[in-house]
Amino acid sequence: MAEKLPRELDALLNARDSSSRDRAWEEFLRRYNRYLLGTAQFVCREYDDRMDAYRYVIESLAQDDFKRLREYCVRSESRFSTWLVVVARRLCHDFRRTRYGRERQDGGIAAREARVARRRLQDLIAEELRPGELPDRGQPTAERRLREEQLSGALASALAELAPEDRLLLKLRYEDGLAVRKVAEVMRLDSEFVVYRRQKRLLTRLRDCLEEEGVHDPYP
Amino acid sequence: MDDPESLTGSHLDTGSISAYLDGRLESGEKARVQGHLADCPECRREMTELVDLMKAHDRPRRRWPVVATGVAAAAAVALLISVPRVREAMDDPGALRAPEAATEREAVRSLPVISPPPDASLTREEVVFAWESAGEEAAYRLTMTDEEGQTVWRIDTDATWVDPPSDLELRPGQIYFWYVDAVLSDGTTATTGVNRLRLAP
Repeated sequence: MAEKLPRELDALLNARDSSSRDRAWEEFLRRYNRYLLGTAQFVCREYDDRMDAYRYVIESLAQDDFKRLREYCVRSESRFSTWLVVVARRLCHDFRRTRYGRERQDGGIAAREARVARRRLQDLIAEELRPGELPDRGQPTAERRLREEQLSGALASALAELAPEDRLLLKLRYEDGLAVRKVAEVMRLDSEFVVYRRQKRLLTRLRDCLEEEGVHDPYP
Repeated sequence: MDDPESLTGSHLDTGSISAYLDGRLESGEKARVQGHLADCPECRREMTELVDLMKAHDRPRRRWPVVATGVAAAAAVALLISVPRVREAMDDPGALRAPEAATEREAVRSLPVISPPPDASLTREEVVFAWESAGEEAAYRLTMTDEEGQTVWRIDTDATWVDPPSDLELRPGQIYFWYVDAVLSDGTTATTGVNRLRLAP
């Protein structure tokens, strides 16, 4: 259901002349400044950056007759304060990119981390299949490599068939390495115990999928 | 400069993210967002950061500070005028601290005040206390007293800003005193010193 416009925003976007617009802008900032300044403080750890980012956010929101703020009206399913924080955060990061450049994505490191994450999930599944047995990390052989490829392929297929919510849980847990409580917060679940239960169910299901693919033993 | 919304082509749009955070998406839309998050590390990073940001905003004892501007005219310009004043105060924390004995100053670190300005006269709504961070894992205690020295409010926090709860009775025209004591992770302490605040009549 669409949200009603907050009074201050409504007054600002519908101001009839420059004088009432200036007053409305002041009222708007008085009401929402805490979100804007707080977001700048959260995103920018250095004091100078914070105040410059905050200024940038204010200027950007006012640009082009408050064009960004008018976008809230188009689709207003969320609270305005939430929407404003999301916009302010993106503006702060835009500001930082301008000042410091884009964060360089080191393809090598990212690819390595992705492999480590997949391995972590793979090992966990493997432990489900043969509990208590430690993987033999001996010299890689052709057979071992084949087995690992088989497991990796079967796992990728199984993951692709999961519901979006389930894939997200595994990604947050095993690729991003988030704690269970944080996973619950990002997924808007009631408690971390829901995450634990779902995680257990998912791992069991993945194990079953792997066995259906003929992967009964993860370790050659 | 990139328009943040220009990311929507390959990333989640602002509306979807904020509706997801507020738990207001229909199940189908929610599944779409979660599916994208599962496949997009950048959006996942954004969402994880926003969850923390919203928690900090929603926590009752952690409120975002409202910079007391007291300036009329075009508010964007007005705020830009007031911000340098805050920065000026930040550059000279000594100007904000209450006088202390030299020995006290040496023994206890100073904690610069961001808001409110010294000897400020503010309305109830404008009262927000903010101070510089004393470092990661520092803990703060803010104490507010009346003119007789009676504590009217005290709060422990690990944030660097608080605003008085709505049910705290502060009388217009009255003078109050406030100070923040910090305990740092290494056990040392810091303080803002005693500051004076007058509630506007």
